[in-house]
Amino acid sequence: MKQQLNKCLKQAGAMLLCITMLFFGAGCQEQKDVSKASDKRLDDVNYLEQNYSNRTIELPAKVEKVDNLIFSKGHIYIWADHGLYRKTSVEADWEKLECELEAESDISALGEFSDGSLMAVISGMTGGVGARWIAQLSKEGEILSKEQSGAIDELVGVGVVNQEDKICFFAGDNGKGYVYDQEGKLLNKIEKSEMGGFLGATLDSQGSFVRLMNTDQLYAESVTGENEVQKTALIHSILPTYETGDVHIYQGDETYSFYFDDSTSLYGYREDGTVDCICVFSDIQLDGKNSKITVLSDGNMVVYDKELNELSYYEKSESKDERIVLELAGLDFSLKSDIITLITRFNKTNTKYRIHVTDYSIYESPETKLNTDLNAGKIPDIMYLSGVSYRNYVHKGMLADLLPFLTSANSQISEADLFSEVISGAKEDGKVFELGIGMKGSYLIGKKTTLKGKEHFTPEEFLEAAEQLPDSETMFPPDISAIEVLKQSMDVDDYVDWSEWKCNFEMDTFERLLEYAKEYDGEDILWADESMQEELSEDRIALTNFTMSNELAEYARLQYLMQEREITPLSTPSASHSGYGFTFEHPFGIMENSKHKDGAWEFFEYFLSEEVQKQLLQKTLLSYRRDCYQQLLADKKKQGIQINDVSIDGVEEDVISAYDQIFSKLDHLCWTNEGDEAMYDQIWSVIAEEAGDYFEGKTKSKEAISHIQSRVSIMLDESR
Amino acid sequence: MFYMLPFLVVIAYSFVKSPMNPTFVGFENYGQLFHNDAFLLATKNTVFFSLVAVVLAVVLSLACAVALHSNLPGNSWFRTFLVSPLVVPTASVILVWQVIFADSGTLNQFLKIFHIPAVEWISSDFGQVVILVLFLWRNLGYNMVLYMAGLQQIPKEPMEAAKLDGANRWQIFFKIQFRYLSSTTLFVAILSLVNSFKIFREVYLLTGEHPYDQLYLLQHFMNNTFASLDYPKLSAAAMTLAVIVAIVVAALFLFDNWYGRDVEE
Repeated sequence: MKQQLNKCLKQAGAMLLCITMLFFGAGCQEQKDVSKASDKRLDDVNYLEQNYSNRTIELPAKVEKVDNLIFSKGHIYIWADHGLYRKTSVEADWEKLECELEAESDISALGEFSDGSLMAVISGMTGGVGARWIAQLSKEGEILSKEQSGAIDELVGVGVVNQEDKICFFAGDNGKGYVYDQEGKLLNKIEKSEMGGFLGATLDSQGSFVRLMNTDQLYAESVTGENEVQKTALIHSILPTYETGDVHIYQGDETYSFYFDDSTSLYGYREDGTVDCICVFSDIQLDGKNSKITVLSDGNMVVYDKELNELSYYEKSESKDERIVLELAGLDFSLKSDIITLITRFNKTNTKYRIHVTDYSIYESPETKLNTDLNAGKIPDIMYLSGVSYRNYVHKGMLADLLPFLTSANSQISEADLFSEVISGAKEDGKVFELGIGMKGSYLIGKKTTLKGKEHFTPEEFLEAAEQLPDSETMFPPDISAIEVLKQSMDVDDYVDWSEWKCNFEMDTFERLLEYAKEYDGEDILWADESMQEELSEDRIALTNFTMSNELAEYARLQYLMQEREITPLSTPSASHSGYGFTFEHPFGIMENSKHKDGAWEFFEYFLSEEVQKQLLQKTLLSYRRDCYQQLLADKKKQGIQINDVSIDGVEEDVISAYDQIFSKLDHLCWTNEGDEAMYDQIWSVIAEEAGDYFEGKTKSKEAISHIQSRVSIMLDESR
Repeated sequence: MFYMLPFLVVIAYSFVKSPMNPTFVGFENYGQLFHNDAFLLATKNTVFFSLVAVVLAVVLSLACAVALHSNLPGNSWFRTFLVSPLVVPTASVILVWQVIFADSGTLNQFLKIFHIPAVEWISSDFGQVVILVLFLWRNLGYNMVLYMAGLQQIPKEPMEAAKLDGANRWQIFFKIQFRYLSSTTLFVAILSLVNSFKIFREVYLLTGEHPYDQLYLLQHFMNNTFASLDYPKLSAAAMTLAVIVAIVVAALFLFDNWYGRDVEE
């Protein structure tokens, strides 16, 4: 019996181990996907981490803006301010060529032959429509012949390189290619492609036409004969979000068949099919998203930064960057050029720190990979909080309080510089865990009379007002969907107690809101446009929404509506009167475990600096830095303002005062930081799914509410 | 070490505040876990499902095996039908299940013919029944093959002797055959238990990360807890479950040793 028991216990022990691993494995089931990607981004790429030094190259005299940058046969060409300039080496002076084109024409592409003569693609207009010509130019740039090419003309984009006195033109969305000789004779016409997703083409070091294709992976196709694909090579097995314009290809040299960049890194493709990542642009202070790049034959680069209007020479350097590296991680930077630009600028200006970015979007399961890294102790200094559950990070104590930095005497930015209501709204238990590059928000606008002069109203008051509307008027436009009505008329915070992570949707008000929303059977979402504002002012609808932006005309219009039509901004119906919601645009936090919190705060100081905020305000971001608006307003007053699309009489005269008044109100309009978009999205997706079933008649309101309650409860309990 | 290390790491994680801040917190994570409604609900659902699923899987597969063992006509066809779900990919199974059990699916359309109102098969209390049917459909065949192998190993002499002594079919089955099958039953039960935990894959594909109350299983809790960066809670849950399962498995082993003792001698 004792032996049997021992045997049993041994077997049970082994079983315990297996079953524990089975359980634990369930928790981490997606990790197998992640293991495919190495720690250093794409696992099929060799990372060289080549350092580059950079220096500015003077632009030709009187040139203000570069339109195109081309490298060919060891010479650098720029097409700038309607003139063609050449530099025979980085050190040489610019020489202006004798190329003269019509007013609306420019040089899209250009290649140089051994004898110095040139062949170019000229884009312009003929008979009121766009056209392209293949032109032969003398060494001095004089146009010798110019022939409109039907083939080239139909192509979308055109590029050109040359090798061994052959020149190729490529473009379109299907990888078409045309290889010409020096006399302009068409040598090879490539029209067939095995796959779609054409990104760019060049002639490789062997003289073959090679193109980059992007289906679900990144491929290089080498085409030597007419329409014959000789070799297809897989370049990347994992595809970042490449789009047309993200990837550029350059002629190769002795080491590489060709070079290419994906706006974030420079790669070299070797003949044996291996790919080297030569450098990551943000590591060498190169803003790949906003630059025109040309790779020289030795792997050095000439870069034109469109934002800074600056031409630079990036030369390979053996010296190492001795600055302290701040690790910045996020789930997706791929399409957010503003951030990459910002980081690159920070790296360029800061002498003590430089930021290295880890973009988890390149992994198959970004969030799982990020969580695995965090749990394994690979913690960044700065976290890009877009797409991650901010509340979870705060709840787990992973984010540092930014308030001590903000109130420190040494800080270059103080709380007083920022909108007080924004900072106050961003506080969680008296601490600030995230700050954004900018902010965004939208709120309802409605007639003062409809809501009896109130700016904040409860769901009950909202429903009461809806009941009292005349038959000719509806609360929202009748063509919007029931889900949209529900979204606009409820505040999730009314039903969730974030301090206890509990929810209560089983309330009479929520059921009444559901029943009210069901009355709408449209399909649209509520979109802030002039037609809705017209409907509002003509008493056909009682509410619409308004999205904060820095578009002067929109505020002028709102100001007009407020003054002339008694319309007022309103918060979302909320029992807690939480006020007008806003979210930070591109929010960042400093990780509690960061060893370089001071360095990380320097990045915050940088993006909240007056200079950067003013630049962002010129684009589309809404700043929460007070003095930016004062300065901007002063500038506008100085310049005088032209508004073309405000059609209401009298508005033009009031624009300055409207601008002044509205921006002074911006602070007041930002009360509550609805910081955790990820968590709100999760909760809202459950509400929308269950409410959707109710609106479609599949369930009763009580059933829908019960489902919402149970599912959201589980969600919150898990995070508690 | 290769096998033990992950296990030890899980134990260690269950006693710290977080992997990023590895302060020893004793049994705090376990305390929080036992007060967590989501964990308690998931445990209740998983235990209930496993209990019913394992019992049914054992009983029904044994019944099928015995039926097929008795040379009924069309045996090979039945065997093929019962084993075929093993080779069907999970994703395809789920697709078929969705077609059948959707609100406007085949089953509800069929009920409509008899003027029976549509039933929310997945999002109501019927959810577990649907999953149970899916589990049995998928696992009966393999269990049955194991039982058939076990049945063929039983020596004929004891049964013939029992027949001569006047034992009826039921007595022969329970007193002789079933006792010879005790090791197979133990194996089938453990296998079914493990497979009952794996039903999460099907539930996840049917209902997503946050399903309805009845279908919320421990693997949901663990997966979602991993996503919300709560490794200590996840580790404490894994350890708790491992201990419970180990106790169940040990009990099964003990029962097998007791029940099959004569057979072994």
